[in-house]
Amino acid sequence: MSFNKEAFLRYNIIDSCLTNKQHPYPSMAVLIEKCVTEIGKTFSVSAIQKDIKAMKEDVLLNFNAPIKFSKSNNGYYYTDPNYSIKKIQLQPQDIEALRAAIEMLSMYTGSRVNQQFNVAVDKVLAAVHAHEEPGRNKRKIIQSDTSQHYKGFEHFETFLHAASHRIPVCFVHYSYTNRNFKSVILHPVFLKEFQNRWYVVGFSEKHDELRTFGLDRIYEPKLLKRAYKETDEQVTNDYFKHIYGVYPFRDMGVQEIEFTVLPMLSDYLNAFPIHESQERVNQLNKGNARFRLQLIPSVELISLFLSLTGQMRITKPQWIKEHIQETLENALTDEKNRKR
Amino acid sequence: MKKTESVSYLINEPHYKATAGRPALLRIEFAPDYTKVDFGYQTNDDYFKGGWVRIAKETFIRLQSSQRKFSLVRAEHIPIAPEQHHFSTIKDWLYFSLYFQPIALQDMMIDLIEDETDDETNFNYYHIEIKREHAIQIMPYSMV
Repeated sequence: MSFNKEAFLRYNIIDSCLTNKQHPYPSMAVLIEKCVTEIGKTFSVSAIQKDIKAMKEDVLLNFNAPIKFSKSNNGYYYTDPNYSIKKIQLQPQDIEALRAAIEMLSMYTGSRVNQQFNVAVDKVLAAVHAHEEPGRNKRKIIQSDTSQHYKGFEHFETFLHAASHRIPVCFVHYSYTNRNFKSVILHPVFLKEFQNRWYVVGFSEKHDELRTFGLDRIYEPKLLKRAYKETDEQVTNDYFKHIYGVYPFRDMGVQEIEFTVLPMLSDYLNAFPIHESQERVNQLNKGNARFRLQLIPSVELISLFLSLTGQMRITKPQWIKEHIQETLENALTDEKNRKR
Repeated sequence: MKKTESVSYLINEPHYKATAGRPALLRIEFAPDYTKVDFGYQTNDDYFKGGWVRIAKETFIRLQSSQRKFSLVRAEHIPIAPEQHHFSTIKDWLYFSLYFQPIALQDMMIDLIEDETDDETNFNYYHIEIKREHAIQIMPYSMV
């Protein structure tokens, strides 16, 4: 258990003692005994005194607990009898929801979270622990392929901070496509995850438009003290509306894309549509189906089609058919004889 | 006493002249304690498997107006000669930074010189244009 989480557990225990109407005015000895019993290790008088001081005064904790010592009763008490650090009363269903949310959040953010966020999560965790039945199974119940260990993920927090506080960022970017370096000044709007990869989206001064940059291709982002260029919310909302993935083909508008699929893929597509524009045009007796998409073709869409070639056939537009045909032919051709 | 603020400034993609094939000079940071120059290098088929790179410890920045020189103090992601960084392919790339003695930001022309005896292979950059009006203040990490 981290120091922070343990401290929050002690705060909760102290709070429970101070709000216990059956045994008011708990003494220092009682507080220590409760902490020892519930956490399973010894604590000194000064440690508990520090906890009380933190609950009263720590700015980051922001409990502002009105704790006083009563000489006549030889114990501590809240001057406001209605006070408790557990301001939010959690119901069992709330705890379950929070537990799942925390687990999912920690999968995405890992250790790349700022101190304030850690404190907030620890507060919630402490509350959850306080409600936990003894012996509850603590095995991991949510698993995803999300990894925090890939290149560039260390910039996540910087861009999150920059986007939320509207701070322009200068970073060096390497383009896998153009194979060159550029120094980019970006006014970040939001972070986007797609297929376990993180991207920052914002207004690029160099490109004079909204652009997407993979965190894995970014070097040394530096926050800049200069005016932030706001991006119209409608532009932001529309940016990914007609795209599957993150990198649309330049100079292409929304296109009608049709394809037929085998029954199993049809079932999958019904359950997990590729895009909100997806519609099933018709379904044949054998279970084969024809689908239609209305979107801007993207690198990721073509990759998806290529991964599904065994179960699908593109019928429209012609250029995507030819592109996929050529790619598949190239995959079976020596490099020197390839068409592109 | 008023505390002196340590402010750093950034010049993004300044104009300069260099022989083709040199690493791209991407940005320069003028900090109170150092001057940092960031480069990006893309290997090509001029050399087998992309060749190698290194930087001479004698590399310096020179103010054109006064000819005053500012020495290299540290290199990041590129070895100091005689050590070499060998590439594996003609599609490799390298981001690296050179740290020099601090230079006060002002309107000026500077040269970044590794060795002027040979412009073909050394990393020599001339007429790097620094304009104060193009400088952007970097937000200190304490404000993040």
